[in-house]
Amino acid sequence: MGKSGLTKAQVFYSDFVVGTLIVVTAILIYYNYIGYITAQNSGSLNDLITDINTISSNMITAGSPENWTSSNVQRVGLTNNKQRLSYNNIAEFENIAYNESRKILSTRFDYVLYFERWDGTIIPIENKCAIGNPIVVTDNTTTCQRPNITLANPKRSVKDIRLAIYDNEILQMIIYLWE
Amino acid sequence: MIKYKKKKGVFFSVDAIIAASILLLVVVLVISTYKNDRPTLVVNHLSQDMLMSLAEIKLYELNNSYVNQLSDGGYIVSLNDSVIEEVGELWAGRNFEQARNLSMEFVKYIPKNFGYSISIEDDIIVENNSIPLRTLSSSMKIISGIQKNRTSTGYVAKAYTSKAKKNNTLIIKGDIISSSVRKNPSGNNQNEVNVTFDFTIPNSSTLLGSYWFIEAAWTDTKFKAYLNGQFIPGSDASGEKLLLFFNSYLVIGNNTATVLYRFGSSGDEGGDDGATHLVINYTTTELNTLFKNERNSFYKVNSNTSIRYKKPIFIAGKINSMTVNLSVIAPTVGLSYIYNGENYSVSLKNVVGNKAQWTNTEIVDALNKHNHTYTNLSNTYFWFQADLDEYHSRENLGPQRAVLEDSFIDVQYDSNLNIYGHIDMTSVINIDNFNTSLQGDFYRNLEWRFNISNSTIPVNLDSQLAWLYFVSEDPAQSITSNSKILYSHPFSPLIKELARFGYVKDNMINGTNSYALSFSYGYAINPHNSLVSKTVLIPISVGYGDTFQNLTNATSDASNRLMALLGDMVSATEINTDVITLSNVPSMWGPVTVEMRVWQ
Repeated sequence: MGKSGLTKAQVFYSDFVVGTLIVVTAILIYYNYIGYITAQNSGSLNDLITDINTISSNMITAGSPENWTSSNVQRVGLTNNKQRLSYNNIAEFENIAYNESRKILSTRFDYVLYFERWDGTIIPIENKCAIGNPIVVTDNTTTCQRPNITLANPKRSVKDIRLAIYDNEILQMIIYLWE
Repeated sequence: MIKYKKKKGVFFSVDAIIAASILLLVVVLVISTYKNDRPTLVVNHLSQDMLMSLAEIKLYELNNSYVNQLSDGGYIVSLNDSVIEEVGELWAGRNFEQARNLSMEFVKYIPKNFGYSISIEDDIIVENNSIPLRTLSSSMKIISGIQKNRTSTGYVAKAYTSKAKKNNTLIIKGDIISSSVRKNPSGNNQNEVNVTFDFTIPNSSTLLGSYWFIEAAWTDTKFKAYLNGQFIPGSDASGEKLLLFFNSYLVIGNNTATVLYRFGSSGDEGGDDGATHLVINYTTTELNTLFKNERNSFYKVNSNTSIRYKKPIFIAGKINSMTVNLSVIAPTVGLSYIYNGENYSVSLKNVVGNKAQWTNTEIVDALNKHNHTYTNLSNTYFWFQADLDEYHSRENLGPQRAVLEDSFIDVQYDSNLNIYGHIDMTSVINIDNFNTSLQGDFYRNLEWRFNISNSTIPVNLDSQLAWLYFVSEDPAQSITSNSKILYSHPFSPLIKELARFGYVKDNMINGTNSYALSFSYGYAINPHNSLVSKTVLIPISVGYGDTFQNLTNATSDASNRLMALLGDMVSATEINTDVITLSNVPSMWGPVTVEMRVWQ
């Protein structure tokens, strides 16, 4: 009776060791695989970060030329250079066709830009809730929601948040860039 | 029984494999899902944006209940301050709780998944350290302002001088006066040409030095000089003479100087060629010795031949009218004016009761006849020429001809000067450089340089020039001030007798000025016998200055500022100060560094 009890205990211990080894092996294989993918695509992520830094830095300026319009814009900027958003500049930016705007922003990636209050309310821009990729930009029909960039099925994305003054309050200007 | 037990063992191994597979699948799914849906967040700019926004947005723009509460509570000095300035001000006033609460009103704009802190110097005003730090962005700004409820009593003072001594220079310049001392065709006609002029040394003056340069109409003309009726030893000379050390012949108050010219060896005329000048340096307690020069008196001239008198006029301002009033002994007087070296006739008048007078209308008519106006004659030298009797440079001794006392030219003008509240100061400018001799000490290129300080107001530059002209030549003449051409021949006529030239403050600058004369062959100036002077106005007061903690320092500061303004040439003997005691003198806080940190 006592011997058979020893045999049973031996079986349970082996099961545990085998199971743990399998799990550890699987995790190691997985992370090796993920690391390979990340190394392959780190170039794209760096490009995304570089582009979004450039775009957001430009957006927080007044742009050029001075008092630019959608027809003569060289560099898109949405403020007065003193952190105050310019309604005119935002309206002119919205007037630029999406693909044309990507050329002006000098990026091959897709983007969306929107403004959000501290309490999460999205500020409509004219009749839209955001500016950017038409797939994720919704019309300002009822209450604006945050753009859902998963609709564009991005492989990877980056996000930048800038703060600027509009109508005597500080807003978040949120920019997504993805591929 | 044993077999049964073996089956149970196999069953447990399968369980373990299945469990491990499930675990692996879950891990893979979780990690892959996490990887795909979460964007990489860039946070480099949040601290800078937040600080810039708080430094830009003003309190009055905000509809914020806490700001209103602070305002009602008297914590806010100015609603024109930015939010960050107000935070700093509260911090400087040790109102730390209010500084924290105000900051809290604005840090809500930072996204919720970020940590943050605002600190001034080493004091943390507000902080959210619930978020572990992985990526940090930090920005700084220097701020300062007026400290609330930190006032003190202060003193500010202004000063003015009611009594001062100034080292001034009195310059009496000779006019161009000539009268024949030679018979026609040759020989001494025994005439003696007496030129007498009066001048006043201001009361309460102390003489420092004096010199008298006399230059006769012809280089061989003999002369003797007298001061207050006393012969000046050594003044019996011919051509030119520089007299020194004659202070003992002068008196404070009214003085009379006389030069008697007579025939030399061959020269036609006795008289002054216009280069003569008497210079007296003195100290005086009279603050203003420069007055509006509306009356230009002729010197007294006595002769027994015809007399030609050229009177220079230099008006710093806009001329409105002029009259010429001559008391003379002569049958007729012919009057003309000389502008830019050209002589234009006014008219010939018979003398009645020793008087010959020209009204403003007659002078304006004469000017208009030659396409001139008073504008042409303003702010520059021009001359009136009076010929007593028909003028001849050679003639025999005849009846007395004389320019008597009470002969003058009255000029009404709008002055460029406002000497109220100022001390006028005239000083001689020494020659800086000269070159290219035409003959002896007469040079073709000359430059005088002088300084006008920022605190003084320039009035004019006046020059009396000892000139030499070769009559057969047509030399070029160029006169410049700071490289700006003031006169140029050709373009303008040749000035044969360039005995005077002057200009006003419009052509002067603060700093180093240059007055330059340049001639081509045939014309030259003797720098040693010429006299160039400048006149400036020095303010006698300084306004309120900085605020001091005690009265002594405030008055001392005002006095020092006044003495620095007066400079070396004026010493204030009595300085008056007005002191205002100020309460609630605001104190400044800062500058301090405010740092905004945002992290994730």
